Amino acid sequence: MSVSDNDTDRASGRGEIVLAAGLVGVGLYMLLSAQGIPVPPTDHGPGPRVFPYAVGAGLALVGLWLVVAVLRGDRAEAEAGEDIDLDTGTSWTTLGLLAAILVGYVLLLEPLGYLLATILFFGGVAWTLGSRNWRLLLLISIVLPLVVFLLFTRGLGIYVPNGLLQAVI
Amino acid sequence: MENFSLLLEGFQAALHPVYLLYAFLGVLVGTAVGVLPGIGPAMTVALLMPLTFSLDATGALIMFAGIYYGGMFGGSTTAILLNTPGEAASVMTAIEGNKMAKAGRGAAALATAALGSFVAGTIGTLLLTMLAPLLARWAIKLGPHDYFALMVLAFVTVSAVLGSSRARGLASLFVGLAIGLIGVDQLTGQSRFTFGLPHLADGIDVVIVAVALFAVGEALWVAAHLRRAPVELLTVRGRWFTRDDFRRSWAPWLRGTALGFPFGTIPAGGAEVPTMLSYAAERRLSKHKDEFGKGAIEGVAGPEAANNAAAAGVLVPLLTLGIPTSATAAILLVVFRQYGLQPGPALFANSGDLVWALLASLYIGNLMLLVLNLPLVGLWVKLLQIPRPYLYAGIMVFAALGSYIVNLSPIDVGLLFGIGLLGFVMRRYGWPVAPAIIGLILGPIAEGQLRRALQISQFDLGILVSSPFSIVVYVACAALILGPALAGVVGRSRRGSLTPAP
Repeated sequence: MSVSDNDTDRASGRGEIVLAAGLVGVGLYMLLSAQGIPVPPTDHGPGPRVFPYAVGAGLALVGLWLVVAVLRGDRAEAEAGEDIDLDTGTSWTTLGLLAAILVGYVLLLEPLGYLLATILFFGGVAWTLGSRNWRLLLLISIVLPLVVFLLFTRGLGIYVPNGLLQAVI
Repeated sequence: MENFSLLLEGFQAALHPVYLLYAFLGVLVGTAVGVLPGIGPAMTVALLMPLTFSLDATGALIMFAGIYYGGMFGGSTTAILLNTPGEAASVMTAIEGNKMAKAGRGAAALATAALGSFVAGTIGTLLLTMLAPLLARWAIKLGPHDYFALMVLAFVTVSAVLGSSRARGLASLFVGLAIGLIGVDQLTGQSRFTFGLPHLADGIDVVIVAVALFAVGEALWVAAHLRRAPVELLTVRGRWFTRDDFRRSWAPWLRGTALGFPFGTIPAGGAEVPTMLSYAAERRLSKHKDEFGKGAIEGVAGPEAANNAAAAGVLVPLLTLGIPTSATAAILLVVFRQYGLQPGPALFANSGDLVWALLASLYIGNLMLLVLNLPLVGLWVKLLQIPRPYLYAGIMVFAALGSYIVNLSPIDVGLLFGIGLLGFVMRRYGWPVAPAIIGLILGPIAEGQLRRALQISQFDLGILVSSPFSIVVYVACAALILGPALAGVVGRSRRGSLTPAP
């Protein structure tokens, strides 16, 4: 667990400036590319470009405002919650592992099928978040996705593709 | 009295055994999910949307009525039994409720919350039943420019008035508006910001964005800061509800209802403001001022009633105007639209049966909540003890499933996680999420109304302020933007009168 890197970054405001500058960038992109939206000659209203212009301009302006505000020392409090401990800083290890699991899930969802992919996904997330009781982890990772799958396919009659296991369950 | 007979017909429909079962399941599941730490009412409704995919419109709406009220109540249980509240509307409940639980009066705190929710919910639903048809009849006269004005008001309140930072609220709003623009333009059929991807032609499903920002963003945020020490969970002890508790609770319930309902009906972000006002009022009026900050029952009764009355009030503009005034209402609007229903004045005329069945099921759901909640409190406490790794893994699985089964496309799951990362970053820098949801859902509607108005007036911008109603709304917007600034100048000299007791 890396400790307190979060605090220095948040205090310096660097990350938030990047984020706000990103809004400016997206806003400018919208302003530029909105010109390319074709306006059909049949349209007698203000057409499909007006709102993109307005939103693009709004994004750019608000982004600028935020950049200036953060540079002048304006910081907002990070969101608190029941299970959140803001004193120990962000655990980038956890976040990195989770990101990898999320990407893996998206890629494996179709080849493996819903059930197998979700068993791996649930187990992976729970392990990353600190579940080390192997027997329990294995049990819940299999039972919970199975119950969810059966509830939706058999109980609610919603089709969920199941890849490798399609023929089995 | 015409309404009364319509309501009776609604009850006839809602009391159908199958619909009763849906209402029951909605209340049960809504409370259970609402109790889970980190899950507020908006997320509860968004996460549970897939459950109703196979139901008919009436059944789904009845179930969501239960989920909505149940999710509200679940949040207050969490606030009382855990140390910190999960959502803004429960902050006030947590202040006194948690102290009460620590002092061994947790049972009384839960009881006054449940009874207060029931009283406020019932009065609120009654007011909703009386007001909504009247308002719907009046709203038929509103033109597109009036609707546009109302939506501007909703944007202003949710982003610039609520929350601690205007710039961050507006940033979140514009992020939502920008995401809402992706896809084919409804009026001309032109693609906008789809980057040539056919998958984006229909836009990004609102459900995916909402679940991503609320559920995935929250799960990632918690995951990165997970409290390693076990949470301090308070037990439900003490006597349930004494005569004295009742004597001290009934007036706060009614006052909370009186504050909560009107605030719910105007675009002021739902329950956050009235719960604070109710807390301040009870502290001032209480005969037991010394108990405030140490567990005063009035400080639980008032805000809880305000919270639930606001929940009913929020449904007034949602049903009659199609305008959501809170993030939860915005997601309810999505539920309506998934069944091809457009809330607004026409809803009462076109789908009267359904609306009255929905209203009737609100009464039923409220009663069920009261009957269910106190006996099941042991179960809710168990839910709070779920080991966090499994809890958040489960939230992720459910969020992913909800976005997967919409189109059975892994791309949607990828979008979910990508936007969830945005939700994480927003939480990190204290950007509120609700404005983005409101912008995303109301943005396209606002654009449609604006363009329709300008089409009628042949590009004359004057039409936007051509009716007294729209002028009043814009004046209200200006007052909301300028008011706090003026009050700040005045209040600087005498600050500190409203801060909660230490």
